[in-house]
Amino acid sequence: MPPLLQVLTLLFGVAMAYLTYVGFRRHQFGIGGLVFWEIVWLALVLVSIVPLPHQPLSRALGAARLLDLAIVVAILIMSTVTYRTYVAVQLMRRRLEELVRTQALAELPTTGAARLQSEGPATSA
Amino acid sequence: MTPSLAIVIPAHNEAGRIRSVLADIPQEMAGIGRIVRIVIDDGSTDGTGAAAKHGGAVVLRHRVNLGVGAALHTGTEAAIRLGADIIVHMDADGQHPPADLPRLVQPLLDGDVATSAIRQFARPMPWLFIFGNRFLALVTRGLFALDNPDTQCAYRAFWARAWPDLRWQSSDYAFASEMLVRSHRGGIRWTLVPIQTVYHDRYKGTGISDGIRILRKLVTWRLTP
Repeated sequence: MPPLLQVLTLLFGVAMAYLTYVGFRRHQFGIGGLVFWEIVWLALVLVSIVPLPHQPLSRALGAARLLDLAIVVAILIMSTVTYRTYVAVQLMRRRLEELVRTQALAELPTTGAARLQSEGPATSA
Repeated sequence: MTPSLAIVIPAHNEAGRIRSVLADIPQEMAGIGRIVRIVIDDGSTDGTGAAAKHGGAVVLRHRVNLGVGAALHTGTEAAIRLGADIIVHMDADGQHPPADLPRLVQPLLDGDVATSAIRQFARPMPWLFIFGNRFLALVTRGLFALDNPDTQCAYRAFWARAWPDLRWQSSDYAFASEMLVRSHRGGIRWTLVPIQTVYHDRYKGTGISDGIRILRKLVTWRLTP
């Protein structure tokens, strides 16, 4: 009987592959995103099903099992994705703020009673 | 020259108070020419903008709530575009007494560049509020040698020409500290003006998470030129 961790990893990989496909069908990302993420989930499924042939690779990289190696790689990928998401959110926030502020300033009356003018000759303050 | 004055008021869901705040602002002040009141309706859903317009203010609207720093940024740019010589920042909830306005502006007419109000930290303010404000002032002093006992009070006045040295990026409550740090680096000295302290139970200002964010930003600004 395979270890529980392998079974859970397999189920997780299959579920994420399906959700990625659903996301693609809903136009949440393009074909590039679909291919990238399906490769990631497929690789996860593979290492959980057939761990043995890859054992030399795991040993060479200092991991006890290939699944351990996959977990380390997953953490690296997750950190990268988190960083990229952070950068994207910051950029979107700045753009949104700029847009909202530009729209607000466009409402400013350019003539009329709201205009201010100093009275008398201009001097330095 | 008789300088003109723009009072910039950021407002988020303050329909109940904004009209009385606007009504309490003096129509005339010694040494000041025209006065305009600008309200930035920061994504309100309670008719704040309409109430402010009724109160005679120039109203600009943020379609979504961006935060007090962003609203004051928009309002200050609007004031400058309208030709204001002196700009005052004031809260919409009545915690910055309009009666203190002449005292805040007078040092500018006497030759100062910028003035900042300071409150008395005492009960009935919550202890956490008092501690938080004092702590941030202490950290600001330690990091920047900037002596202001109330770094979070946004009731401030400055000449429009000082704007390039003040222009903050923070859209949240950190703008008050950023304004001080930037002006400090630009060589601007703030004249401190004690004001009457008004504290409402329905306080919507800086909370614990804001305080932590401001602290983080203070350290970041210290480490970056």
